[in-house]
Amino acid sequence: MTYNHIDKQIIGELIRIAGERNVLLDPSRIETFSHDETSKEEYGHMPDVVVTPQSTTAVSEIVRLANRARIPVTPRGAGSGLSGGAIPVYGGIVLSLEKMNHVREIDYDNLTMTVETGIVTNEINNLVRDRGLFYAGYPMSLETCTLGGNIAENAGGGKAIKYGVTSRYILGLEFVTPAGEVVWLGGKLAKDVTGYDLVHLIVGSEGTLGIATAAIIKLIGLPAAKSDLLVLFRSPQEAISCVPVILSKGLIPTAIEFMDRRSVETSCAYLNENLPYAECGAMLLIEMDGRNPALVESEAEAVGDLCMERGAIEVYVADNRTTQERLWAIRRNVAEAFKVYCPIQSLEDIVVPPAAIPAVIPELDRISGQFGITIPCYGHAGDGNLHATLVKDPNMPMEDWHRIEPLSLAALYEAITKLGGKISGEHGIGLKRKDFMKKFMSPTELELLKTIKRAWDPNLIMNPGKIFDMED
Amino acid sequence: MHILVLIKQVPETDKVKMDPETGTMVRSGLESIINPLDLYAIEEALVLKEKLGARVTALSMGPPDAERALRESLSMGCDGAILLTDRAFAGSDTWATSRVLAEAVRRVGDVDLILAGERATDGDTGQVGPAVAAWLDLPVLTYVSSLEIEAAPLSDTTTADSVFLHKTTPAAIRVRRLTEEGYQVLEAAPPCLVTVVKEIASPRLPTLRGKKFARSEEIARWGASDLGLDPATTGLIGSPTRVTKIFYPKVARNGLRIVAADEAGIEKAIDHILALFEKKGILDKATVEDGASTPSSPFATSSALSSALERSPIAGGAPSPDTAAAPAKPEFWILAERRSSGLDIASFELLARARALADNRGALLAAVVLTSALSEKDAGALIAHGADRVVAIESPLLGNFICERWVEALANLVRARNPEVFLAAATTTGRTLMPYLAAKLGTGLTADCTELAIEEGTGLLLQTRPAIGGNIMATIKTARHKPQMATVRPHSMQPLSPDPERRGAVIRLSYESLTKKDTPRSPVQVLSMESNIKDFENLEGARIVVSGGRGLKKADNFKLIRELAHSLGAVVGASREAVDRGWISYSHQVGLSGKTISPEIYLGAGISGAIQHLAGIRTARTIISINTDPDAPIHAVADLAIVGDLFEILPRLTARLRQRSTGAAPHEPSILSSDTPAAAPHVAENRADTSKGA
Repeated sequence: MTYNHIDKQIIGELIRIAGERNVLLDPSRIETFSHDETSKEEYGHMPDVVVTPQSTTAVSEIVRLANRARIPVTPRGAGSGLSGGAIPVYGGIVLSLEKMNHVREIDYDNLTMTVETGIVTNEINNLVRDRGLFYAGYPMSLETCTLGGNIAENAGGGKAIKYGVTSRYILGLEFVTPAGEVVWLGGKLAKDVTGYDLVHLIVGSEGTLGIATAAIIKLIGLPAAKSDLLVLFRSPQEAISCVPVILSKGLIPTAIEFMDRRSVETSCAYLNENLPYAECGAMLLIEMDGRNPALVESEAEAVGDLCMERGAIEVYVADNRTTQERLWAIRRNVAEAFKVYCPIQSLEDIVVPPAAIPAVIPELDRISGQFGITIPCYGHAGDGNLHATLVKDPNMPMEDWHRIEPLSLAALYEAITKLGGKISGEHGIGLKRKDFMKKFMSPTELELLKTIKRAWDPNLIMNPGKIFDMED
Repeated sequence: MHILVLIKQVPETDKVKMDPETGTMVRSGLESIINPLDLYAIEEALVLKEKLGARVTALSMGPPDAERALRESLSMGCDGAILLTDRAFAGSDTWATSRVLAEAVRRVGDVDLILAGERATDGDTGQVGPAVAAWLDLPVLTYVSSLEIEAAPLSDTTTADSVFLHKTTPAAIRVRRLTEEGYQVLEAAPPCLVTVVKEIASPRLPTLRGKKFARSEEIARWGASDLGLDPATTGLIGSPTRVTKIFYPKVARNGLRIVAADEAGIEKAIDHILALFEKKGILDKATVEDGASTPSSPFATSSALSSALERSPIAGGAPSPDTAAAPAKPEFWILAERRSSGLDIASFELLARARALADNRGALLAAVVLTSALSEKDAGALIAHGADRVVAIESPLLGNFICERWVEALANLVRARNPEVFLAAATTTGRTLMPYLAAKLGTGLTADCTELAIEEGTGLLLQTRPAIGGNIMATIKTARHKPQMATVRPHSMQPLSPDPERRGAVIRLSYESLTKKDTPRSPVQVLSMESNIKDFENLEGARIVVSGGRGLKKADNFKLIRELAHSLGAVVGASREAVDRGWISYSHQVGLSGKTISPEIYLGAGISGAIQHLAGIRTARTIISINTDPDAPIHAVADLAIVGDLFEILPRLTARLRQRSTGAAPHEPSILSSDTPAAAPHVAENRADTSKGA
C-alpha cells in the first residue's frame, strides 16, 4: 500500500482539531508509540505524528482528515498488546486514546457503565467495587491495559471459563467509522437482533474497522469469596482429563490454569518455592468464586475430591489472599522465570479444543527437539487457550533464532490446526501472525474478512497491515 | 513430645484501620490471616512431629473469629487447637496477652516445647513470646533460625499410647539464634519457649485432607473463668500500657524525581546520587573506613577518654548500691550493651535520648551493663556520653546474653532501686530481655519506640512508636506502673559528643550478690558463637544500606548490589522477594518480616516498595530509589527517586565511586577527620581522638 505523507498543512489541521499539546512530533516523545510488548527490534515502526484527542468529535475529525488525505491511522490504547496490533507499520498517525478515559455514566438500575475506551480496565473495577459490582470482561487484567485495547483484541484472560471474554460484556459502542462518521451501535440491551450484530464484529477487529471511542459495558455482582486449589498430577493427561469431569458436575471454576512440568520446575526454582513437585508431571490451578464463602468452600472441596479420585498426587487449598497469592505466583511467574533463562522468546496463545491439550504436549516436545529450543506449556486449561512459548536456547546465535522462529511457529501452528485448534485465542493476529493467516485459514474465510474490510474502509486507512494484507 | 505453637490472627498489613477513640485496631471487615512469622513456627513444629513424633497444638488468643486462623493451622497438620476468647480479653497489651497465654499453657500442662513467630506483623513488638516464658519461668530462646532436638531414650515403662503421642521425650534443645554479630548456638533443657525467624523453615500449604480434618475438629474455647483469671484484671483494664494518641505519619517525602530514560538522564541520575553521598559525607568516609566495620569501635579505643578517666577521681571506686543511693532524685536507667568489639553504638544513642529526658525530669541517669567485666575505659565512655552513673553487674556467667540469668540479676536490682524509667535499645538482646523483665516486674513495656518525651504535668514517659507496618504512630503511656519501660529503635538519634570532663560513679556489683545464689543453675548453655559468617550482615548497625529486590532478576545480579555496597562501605540489604527466591540469605532482609532499619542512607534498587518493605525503612534518614516503574511505591517515599534501569545505573555508579576513591589517593591516608563533614560528627571526633592518642 502507498499512502500520502504528512505535510505541514496536515499537522496544522491536526493542531487545529486536537490542540497543540495533543499533537506530538518530537521523535524522543513519540518513540514509545513505535512498539508494543512485542520485540521492538523485530516489529517496531515509528509514526510520523501522535495525536491524543480528548473528544469523540476530535477523533472523528482526525479520521475524516486522514481518510480524505489518504494517511494511515493506527489507534492505540496502552500499548501492552502482544501481537503488534498498535504498531504504525505504514507510519502516519498514531491516534492514542489515552486522554479519552472518562466515565460518562454509571447506571445502577441497568447495571451498566458508559465509559470512554481509553480508561484503564482496572480503574473500572476500582470505581464500582464498593458497590459490590465488577466488570468481568477481563478480570485478569494488568494494571495498565485499557478497555479500548481489550475491545480491539477481544481480550480473554484466565477467567474466561466462567465469565467469558470481553465481548460478553460489551453491550454498545460509540464508533467512529473510517470515513469519520460517528455512530452508536447496540445499547443497554440484553437482547438485540435488530440487524447484523456489528458491535461484536467490531469487538476483536483489532482496530481495522474503525475506532470505538466509548462503550456501554455490563456490570455484574462481585463475588465476595474465592477458594483456590493447586492440584499436582503425575501427567498432563491425568490433569486435563479432570477438566470435563469437573465441568460435567455443574462445578464452574473461575479459572483452570494448566502448567506442564517444565513450567512448574522453572517457576518454582525461580520463586524458591519448595512444593514437593518431584513426581509431578503437570499442575492445575483451579479457582472457585461466589457470593457465599461456605458454598465456595464446599464446591472447591468437591472439585478437589474429583481430582483426587482421578489420581491427583496432592491437592493444596488456599482460601485467604496470602496463600492464594503464593499459589498464583507460581502460575504468574512462569513467563518471568523463562525470561531469566533467556529473554528471547515468542509468546504464543494457541487455542485448541480443551480435550486436545494432552495431545499438544508431545507435539511441543517434538518441535522443541527438532529445532533445539525450549517450549514450556502453560495457560488456560479450562478453555484450551495455551501459552506455548518458544524460548531460544541462551547459547543459540541470533541469526539461527531468526531462521528457526518462523519454522518452529509454522510447525506449532500446523500441529494445533490438525488438533482442531487456531493460532490465536486472545492476543490477536496483528502484525506478528499475519503471515500465517494465509496458511492456516481457508481462502474463503479469508476472502470474507477482506470483503468486510473493503466495505468498511475502502481507502484502507484504518490500522493497515494488520491481520492480513489486502494485496495478498 | 507435646509442642505448643502460639499463633496470632492478624489483618493483612496493607489494609489496616485504627479506631481513633480507643486507639485499637479495627479488625472487622478485614481479611485476616495467620501472622506470617507464626507460619514458620507451625512448620517447624510439624517438621519435628514428622521427624520425632509429637503432638502439635495451636494456641491463640483473639476474637471468636480467630478460629479461622486455628483451623488453617489444623489444615496444615496441627493435631489440636485452643482458642482463648473472652470479651474480658479485649484491648490487652502485650503484658496482659502474655499473662492469658501463660495461664492457658499452664492449663494445658504437659508441654515440652513452645514455639512462636518472632513477632506479629500487626503489633510488631516481639514481646509476647519472651513475656509468656517469663510468666511460666521458662527459658526463652528468641530469633531462632534452626533447631535440633536431642531425644531421650525411651523408658521401659513407655506405654503404647504414649509412644504414639510422645514418641520422643526431648532431652535437650539446641538452637542457632540470629543476633547482630552472628549466630549464637545455645542448648537448653526442655521445656522452653522458642521464637523463630523465617530462616527456620518454609511453611507448607494446607491440603484438602487437612482442610477436611480442620473442619471436623473441635476447637476448645477458653475464657477468663476457665483460666481462673479475674476479668477485672484482664484486657484493657488489666494492661499496664495505654495508647493515648494515634496519629498518621507523613509518609511521602516528595523527593526529587529523575527519569533516567536516556544517556543524559542516566548521567544526571548518577550525578545526583553522588552529590547526595557527598552532602552526607559518605564518600570521604568510605575511603577511610574500608568496608562496613561497626561504628562502635572508636568508642572502645578512644584513648582521650581513657586519659580523661585516669584523671577522674571516682573511677574505680565501687560503692555499694546502698551508699550510692540518692533517694531524692528519680532514677532513669538505660541498658548498655557490649559487643565483641566494645560498647554498642546504640547504647550511646540511648544515652543521648535518656539524658534529655532525665534532665527534663530532673532525674539521675544510670547506665546498667551486664558483662563479665567492664573496663574502666568503657565505663568512662558511658559517663562521657551522658551517664551520671554506671552500674556494672559483673560475673563470668554474664559474658554471654542468657535472658533468664540476666533478668534474675536485673529484676532484683530494679526492685531495690525502683527506677522511674528503664530503656534499652531495640536490639535482639533488648527485645528479648525487656519483655521478660517487664513481665517479671509486672510493668508495661513499649517496643521499638522512635520518639520519647516527658509529659508535662504528670512527668510520665510518652513512648511513641510506629505500628501496623508504620501506617500509624501510637503514643503510649505506662501511667500506674514503675518502671516505665521501652525499647528504642537503634539509629533513631545521634549520640552526644563525649565530654571527658563529665564525672560519675561506677558501681560494680557481683551477680551473686544480686541473686543470692552461689552456683546459679541455668537451663541454657551457650555452646558457641558463630561470627564471621559468609553472607551475613548486621543491617541494624549500618549507616548505609544498599538493597536489591526482584528487579535484579536473578541471584547472580546481586553482585551489582554487592559491588556498589563495597565501594561505599555499605551493608547489603534485600527485599523479601529476593530473599524468598533464595538469591540472598535472610540476614539481609529489610522489612516487616526482616529487619527494621534507620540508616543514614538507604538505596533500594529493583525494589517496588511493598508496604512491608517500606515499613522497614521508614525511619531511614535519606532514601534513594532506583526502579524502572514510575509508579513503584518506593519512589513516593524516596528523597531521590530515579526512574530508570538499575542495570544501566548501578555499574556506572560503582565505577564512578571507584574512580573517585582512586582519584582521591593523595588525600587518602591523612583524612583522619579534619575534613570529615558534619554528617558524622561523633565518628569524626573519635577518630580524631584515636589519631591524637596514636
